[in-house]
Amino acid sequence: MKLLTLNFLTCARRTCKSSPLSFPLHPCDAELEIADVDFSLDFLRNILPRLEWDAMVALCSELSLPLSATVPAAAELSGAGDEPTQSAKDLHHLLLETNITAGKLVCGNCGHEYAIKEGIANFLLPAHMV
Amino acid sequence: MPWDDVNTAPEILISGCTPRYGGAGRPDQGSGLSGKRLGGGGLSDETWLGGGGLGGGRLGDGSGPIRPTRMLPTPSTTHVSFDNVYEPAEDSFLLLDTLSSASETAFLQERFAQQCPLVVEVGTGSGVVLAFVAANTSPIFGHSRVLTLGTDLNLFACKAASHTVQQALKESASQSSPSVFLEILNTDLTGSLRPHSVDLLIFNPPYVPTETIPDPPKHGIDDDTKSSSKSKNSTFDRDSQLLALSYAGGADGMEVTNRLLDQLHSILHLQRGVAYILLCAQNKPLKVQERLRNWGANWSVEVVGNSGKKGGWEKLQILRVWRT
Repeated sequence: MKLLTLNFLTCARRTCKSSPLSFPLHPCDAELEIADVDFSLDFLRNILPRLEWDAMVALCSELSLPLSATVPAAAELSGAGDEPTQSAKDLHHLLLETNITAGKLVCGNCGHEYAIKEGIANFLLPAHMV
Repeated sequence: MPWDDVNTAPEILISGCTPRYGGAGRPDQGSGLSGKRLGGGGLSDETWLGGGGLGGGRLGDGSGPIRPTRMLPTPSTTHVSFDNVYEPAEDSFLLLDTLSSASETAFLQERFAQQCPLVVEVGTGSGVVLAFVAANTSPIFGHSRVLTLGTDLNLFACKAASHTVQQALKESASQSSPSVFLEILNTDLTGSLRPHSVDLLIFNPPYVPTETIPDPPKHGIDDDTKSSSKSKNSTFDRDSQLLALSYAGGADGMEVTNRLLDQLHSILHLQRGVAYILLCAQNKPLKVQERLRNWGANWSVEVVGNSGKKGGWEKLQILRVWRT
């Protein structure tokens, strides 16, 4: 699972959706793996406004991964001749190339743990928890 | 008008059942029909009710589909085991044709010109539809700043679809820059997605009317590798259940679709959200449309694709439901 995916995930339980504690889900016992993804400055610029930056900072710190506390300005992503800066490359690497292949995602509201195996997260709930 | 005639003219149901493939490749499933139908996987003794067994439309019955020939390549699914994952069929292909039609690409290009839309397919099955979108973002959206994500109850489908999308992206690598495929989540409908996060939702539901809907997999599925220690029967039962989940829609074939429709308000983006939902004739689509039109002025509904008329009625249609 790409770290960027966590920007769009919350607890699957209906009763947790309205709680601010259910986002982001907290990675636990996470095994990380790097997989190459083609770099696109255009994509990076346009995904920035969609990121819940504070949440991404929080979960990166839980994973001991570096992410600046403030959102980079669009100008910080490219230098002369539209060449991507190092911070753009780092952001790309973090969001798109860093994957959680195994571990758990834990809801900060109800504490439910969702397993990740072989990179696939299992959000199926027993009927009484839906 | 032909839609709701279906329920008063049951004999027409049979006409949709011309096999498109011989059944030879799938002997234990009784038939090689395209589309969803009862009886798949040996769960039921009833014969199929023609819920999308649309071979006729493709065999030239003189009233062909009202849609253009698909110019973009169909993603390969040859790696997928169709013993426990729904095989791409007429319904899947209708979604491909509709999403790449002139009217829909114009609509999507205008709506998402300046955006980085999140495209979510609910119930990906083999992943053929999501892969098609992921590999063709430039012709469909006019740019490749697109995120794709899928969900499925069936872990085998999750794995298969992930492979299908990645392979299609690899094969389309000639595009200037590829779109970003996130993943396939093993979840029920849109469960676990953040409210109002989805820009474009695609759903090819289990739409065949059935008496019951099988229970979803309890908590994931037993892993593939363990199946060798199991009896052949329990593997067969599991696969039958998984295939049944891909077509069994309960009352009017609408029970699962209704649950998804109820989620649209909370899952679709508050300004940009749009959903493409496939219906079959037995779903009473006119009633469905009427219900959606009652959602109020902030919503619009339009039929944007259909499988062509046969015997005077359309078997499959695709609704576009969007916030205005």
